[in-house]
Amino acid sequence: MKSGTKYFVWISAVLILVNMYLIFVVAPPDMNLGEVQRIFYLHVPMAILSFLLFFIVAGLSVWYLIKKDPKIDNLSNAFAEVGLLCVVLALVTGSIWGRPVWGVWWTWEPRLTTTLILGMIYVAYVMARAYTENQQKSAKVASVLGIIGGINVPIVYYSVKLRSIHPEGTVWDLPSSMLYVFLFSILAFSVLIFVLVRLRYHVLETESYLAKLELTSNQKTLENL
Amino acid sequence: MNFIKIMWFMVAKDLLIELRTKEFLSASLVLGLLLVIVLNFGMQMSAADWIMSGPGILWICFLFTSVIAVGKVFENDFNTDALLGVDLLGLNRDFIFIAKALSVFILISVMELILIPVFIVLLGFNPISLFLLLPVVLFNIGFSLISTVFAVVARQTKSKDLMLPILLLPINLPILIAAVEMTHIISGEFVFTDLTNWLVVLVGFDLIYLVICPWIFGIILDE
Repeated sequence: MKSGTKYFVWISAVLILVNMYLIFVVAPPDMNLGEVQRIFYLHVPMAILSFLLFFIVAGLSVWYLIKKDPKIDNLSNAFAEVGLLCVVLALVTGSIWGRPVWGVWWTWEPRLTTTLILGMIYVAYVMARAYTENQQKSAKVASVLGIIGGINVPIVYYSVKLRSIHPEGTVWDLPSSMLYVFLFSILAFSVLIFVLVRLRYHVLETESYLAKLELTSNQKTLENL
Repeated sequence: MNFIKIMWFMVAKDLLIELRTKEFLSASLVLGLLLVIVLNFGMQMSAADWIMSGPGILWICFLFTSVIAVGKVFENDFNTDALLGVDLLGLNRDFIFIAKALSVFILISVMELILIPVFIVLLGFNPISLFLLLPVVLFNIGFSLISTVFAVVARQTKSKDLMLPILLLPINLPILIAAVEMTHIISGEFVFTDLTNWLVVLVGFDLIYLVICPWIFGIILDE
């Protein structure tokens, strides 16, 4: 592990521990929902980050198609894989939250539905990569999906929202004691996600380097023959 | 020979193949019928339920049969590397894209024309109205654009038949939702302003992908 990454891992660990303290000790329980509302501090940042990461993937995909640099593709891949983790966590925590609040594990509420569809696009992205043999082909396929997926998410949200009559609150409606904890949660999880992306990117870069070495050594063996 | 003429030949070739074999249109009729039968037994629906859920079922059938149409339109081209041949003619890739999208558009439009009477008979739900042209045409445009790109994308993967619906279904959800909702509104009493929001979704989707898809198609065709 590079020294810079180690540094970020430690910062992230400290932030997450402080975040846990703020969530479970400092933040007051919700007046209506009680203790179960504390899952909000994990659920909402994960949902926000999953959307943000997918827009980053879309941006990186455009950049890759222009520059054709494998490093950009590896970075985009790292963001997408961590993004998929965020979507899964957002959906699972959303379900756990929804059960006591709405009495069901799942409801077709616009934000949940959009997150689910975003998750399906992430899954298609990861599957398309896994099912493509050549790295260059895989990068192109993934970039196309990254761009179209990124453009599609706001349209999905708009169309799902039109269908729904559910009232929607915003985080700015929270009392300040909860809002600070929520904002700190976003910061702590953003740093954690940044560290995970960085680690995954290093692994992908190392894999690419090894693949290149293998190719060169095979070429040399063929030349010697 | 000008580009428009080559483009027209490409569309005519796809349509002529379908006219001679009638593979896709006959299969889509059978598939549409089967979907209605399966849904009837799977959901235990009453006559009132059919009228209520008619638009949804109609569009689910359209979507699934359209996915098959895409596979069919590109099957011969992929088997014979025809797209590569046309590309080597030096034809602008935007024209190749438009020709393939137009083939998909015409095939799925004809398929929908065949399926609608089946639904009227079996579901007791009559969506026929001039306004129905709006969701049908706008959905078909959006679907043709996206599916033309994804057919080439899916071809780069090991299991293209499996990947095509996995790629197409989540991306086409906004236009599916808009088309279902518009058909719902059209099948009852309505004023035109009720359709405005859904028209925005469909027209917006079509315009965005009309700009993006030819660019992406040009890049992905390099392989």
